[in-house]
Amino acid sequence: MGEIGRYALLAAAIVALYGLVVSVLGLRWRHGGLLESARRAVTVWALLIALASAALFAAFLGRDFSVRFVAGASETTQSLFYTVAAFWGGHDGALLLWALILAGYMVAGVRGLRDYPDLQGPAVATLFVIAAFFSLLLASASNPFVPLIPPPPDGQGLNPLLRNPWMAAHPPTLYLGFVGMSVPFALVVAALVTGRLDDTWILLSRRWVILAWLFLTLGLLFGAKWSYVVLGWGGYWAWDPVENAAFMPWLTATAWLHSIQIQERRGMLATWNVALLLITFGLTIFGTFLVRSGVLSSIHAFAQSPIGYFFLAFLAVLLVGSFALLAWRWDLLHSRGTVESVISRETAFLANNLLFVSAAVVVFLGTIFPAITEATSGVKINVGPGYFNMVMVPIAVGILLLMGIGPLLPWRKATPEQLARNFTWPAAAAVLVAAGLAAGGVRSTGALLVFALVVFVGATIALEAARGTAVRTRRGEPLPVAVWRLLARNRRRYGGYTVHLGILLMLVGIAGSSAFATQSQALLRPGERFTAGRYTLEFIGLSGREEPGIDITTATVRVWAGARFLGTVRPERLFYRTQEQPMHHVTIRSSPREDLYVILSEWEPDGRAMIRVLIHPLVLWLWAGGFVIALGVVLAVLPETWRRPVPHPATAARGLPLSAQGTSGAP
Amino acid sequence: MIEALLLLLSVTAAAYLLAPAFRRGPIGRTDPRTALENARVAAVQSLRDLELDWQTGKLSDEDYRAQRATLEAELAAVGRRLAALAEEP
Repeated sequence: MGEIGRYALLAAAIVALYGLVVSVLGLRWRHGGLLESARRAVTVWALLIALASAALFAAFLGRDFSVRFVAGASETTQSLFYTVAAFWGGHDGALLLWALILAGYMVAGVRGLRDYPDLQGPAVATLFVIAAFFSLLLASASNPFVPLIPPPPDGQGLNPLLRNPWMAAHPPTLYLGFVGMSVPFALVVAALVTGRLDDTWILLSRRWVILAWLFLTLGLLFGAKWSYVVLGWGGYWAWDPVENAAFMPWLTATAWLHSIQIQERRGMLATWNVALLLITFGLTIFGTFLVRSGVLSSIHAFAQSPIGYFFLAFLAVLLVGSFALLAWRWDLLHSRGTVESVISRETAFLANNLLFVSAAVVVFLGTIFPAITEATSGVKINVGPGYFNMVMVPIAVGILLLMGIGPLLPWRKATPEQLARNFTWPAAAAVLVAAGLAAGGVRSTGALLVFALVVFVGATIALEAARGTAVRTRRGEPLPVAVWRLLARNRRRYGGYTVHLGILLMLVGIAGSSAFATQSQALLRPGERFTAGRYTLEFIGLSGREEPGIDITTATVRVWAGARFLGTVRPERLFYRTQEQPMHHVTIRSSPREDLYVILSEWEPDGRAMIRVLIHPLVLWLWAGGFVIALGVVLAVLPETWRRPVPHPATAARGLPLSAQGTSGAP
Repeated sequence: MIEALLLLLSVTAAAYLLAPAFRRGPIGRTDPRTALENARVAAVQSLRDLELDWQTGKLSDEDYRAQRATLEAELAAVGRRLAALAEEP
């Protein structure tokens, strides 16, 4: 398998370079044959990367320890699931996965541009720049098929920290998000090269960015869930450099998804939107640099290697090149509209953009600060969660407020009467909830503020949906039909609102688990009990067992909530013999109200065990929010009209009512 | 055996890649109707959004009429350009 893999990667590098050269020459010489050859190179490159990936999978499944990467990330006792996941459990395989995803995106992206041949050529060339970079790395410094002679009888096994379903899903999901930004990046570069800077590139990029944004969101959530269930500290976010690496493009992509609406509706921010997308793609490459270089310490930086600096050079080339193109086309990117009133949707979206980009800058500075201090003073100084929380919480509150205000404001300008009509009830609901929570004993100012704003935003969405439904019921539509048609005919708008609802659920989870989490621990003899919050826990005893490669110690603990017996939980400590690495296997009882998180910390030879208990209120809503966001994205990317009717030109020319335009005018 | 297969694969891929490279032909151009049709769909969508904003009370009647007139003028302009293209031989 190693031989086939090495051949496929070498051939892929040659084909990628060929595709890059012929696409550039084809554009320069206006040679259709060369451009067709470049398009074919996309398919051939994708097949070669697929062949290399298949060879690596086969090497893992066949326990081919003559391949160094396979020997380093698997062992004979490893389960089939984690043997497959080991593909991306190390540096070289992760890069091959990246290339495999890029291959899929390239084939789909180039096919999606078949109706836009003038954009397709430059987009293919841009994608081949990226493909050539990854192919050259894979064929040389980061080749996963380097032979190991003589092959060992057994491998070293996958890092035990990675043996978790959430971590198995985290890298592919995150890469689908990172690499997903390649196609919109190629599109915007193509628009700059050709000077076709009308709204076409935005129309073509939007779904790609939404899809990539969804995968980034899910990747971040899967990583948070892994941290929550594996690391045994009860947290899910620590402003770790690698977490930040995925968070920064998420922030700028979110800003872009809002600011393109201003360009589409008001013809403004054309330059900003181009720059924002270039930066977003740059941040995905910067994120890879952070993960792979080891320049910043991180619990997630599993595979550090000097090739991170190749990424830095690649990033520099990409940014310099693409911003030079932007400067070249600056004059074509003029705004057609202006802000007519401070109180308008475009102003709210502008403020939203400033906050999202500010957040990205804050995270960027906090992330690279240790590297800067090390370079300037020789001492690495980490800023820590205190800095991030202090700066990011006010920004997040501002974004949350705008999430409620923006959608209910009209484009261009709003009157005071409209403001009163739209915001009185949501504001009253927010105040009432905050007062109720305060009266109920909630003393955390931050939590009160977040819950009040969540209610405010939720109420604005509910009000918007209720009014939209009422418009249809007044025409005689039954309520369920009215709701269905409102959603079906305004998918983009209500998909966006559904995503906002998902964000609200996540914020409820974050605020609840941050403000009201409690923890306690006790060293218990078998039969002893202790109380944690409303729970009583009885330690029954310890037991031990062996599984292939792992020694497992289990604590049996019975749990009551008040007088009600909830059941028996069994937190474990695992010791991986090959890696000589201990691991927690915590038990979590989740409910919409709170998570009961039980950890076996340590034990004594006399049978006593240290049991640690964390109670995290509302954390389930954080994960539920991710599911709602996914639903919203699916709704938002569905086409507004299933088939695009071609109007009779004379009808459109006369500007007849929408119902006569081939697309229903009913909202 | 593997070497022979890989050689065959390489020759096939090279032939597939190089075949069109020697055929000189014009590079394709995007049909102008595609962009206009996109602009038409976007304008219709903007009008529907405007309609919903007005019906749900976000816009005054005066602002609604003014914005609707602007969007309809854009739509009509797109329609005229599409009509002109349709009349071209």
